Amino acid sequence: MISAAQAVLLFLVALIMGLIILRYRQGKIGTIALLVWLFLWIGAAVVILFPNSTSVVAHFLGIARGSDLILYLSVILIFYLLFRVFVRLEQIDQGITQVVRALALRESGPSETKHNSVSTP
Amino acid sequence: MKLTIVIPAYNEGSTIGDVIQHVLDVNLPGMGKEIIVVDDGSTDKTGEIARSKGALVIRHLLNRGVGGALGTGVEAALRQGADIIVTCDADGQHSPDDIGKVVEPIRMGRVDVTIGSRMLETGGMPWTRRIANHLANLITLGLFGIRTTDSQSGLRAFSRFAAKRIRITTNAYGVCSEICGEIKRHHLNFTDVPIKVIYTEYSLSKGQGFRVGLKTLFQLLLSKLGRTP
Repeated sequence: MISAAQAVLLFLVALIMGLIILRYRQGKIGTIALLVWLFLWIGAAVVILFPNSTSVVAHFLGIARGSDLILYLSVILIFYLLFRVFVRLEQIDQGITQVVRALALRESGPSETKHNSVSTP
Repeated sequence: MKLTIVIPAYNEGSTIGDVIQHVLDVNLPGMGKEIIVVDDGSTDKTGEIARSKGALVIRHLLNRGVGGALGTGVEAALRQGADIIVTCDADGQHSPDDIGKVVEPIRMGRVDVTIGSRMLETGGMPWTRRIANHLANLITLGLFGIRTTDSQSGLRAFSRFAAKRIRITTNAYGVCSEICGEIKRHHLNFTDVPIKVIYTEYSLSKGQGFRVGLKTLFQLLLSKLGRTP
């Protein structure tokens, strides 16, 4: 039998998967994103139903406990996401500069229109 | 021949007037001079003072950092038809007489870019800054593969040819190293020119201290890693 905690977690996972499918139907996410997310959450459901299954994979990789494996993977994932956020932030920062620059050059600076007005009477 | 001096300034109201005056006083025979001050979102009267001194003031709505301001200034100078572009700090650490020195090799057509090096005659530079500048040069060499005696100098000169090619994307102080990287990428000829540096308590407070230096390094590494081709 499954415990109460497992039941609650499984219910949550089912809910999330339902939301993902809804998003797909609404066309907000693509087919690849749908498959990746469903695969991840089905994996989560398997781990919830058979907690010892992670240990099998962990042993195969030479890690003592399944929960350790999940912890390691989580840390790697978080570092990767953090890096992505940093890069994205840098891109946004450069984008803001481009907007500020374009505005500054248009408002107070020399403009190309000035050259045009000279050449066209 | 038209010389445009680009001065990025953020809350430099106490020095900008003198800096512009000194630059105007420099006598460069045979060259027209224009000063462009990029007011980088200052909250003081930097822009007003610069305008009253006769500079063309271009105002950033938001503070973007010295790199962002330089990029705007160079772009404006190109649009104004500059033949040679000099960048100069607004804190009064450069001696205006040195403008002639950085311009000369470009006017003679010997090189495309000159960097005014404060490290060739280091008298008056605090030893901590000297070490920091040496480290910055090593890092610039490691990241961008270019050897210069002062990678963090604010006094440089570009030919129109060079200014059109150099692309500035870094907003903060990392721009100094980025420019070095661009020199390398476009195979531009460059040379170091010895310049004096006037360190005052004020100019020391405005430059890169230890913490800002570390931030610059972190940002450089990040942009090197995260650069999309």
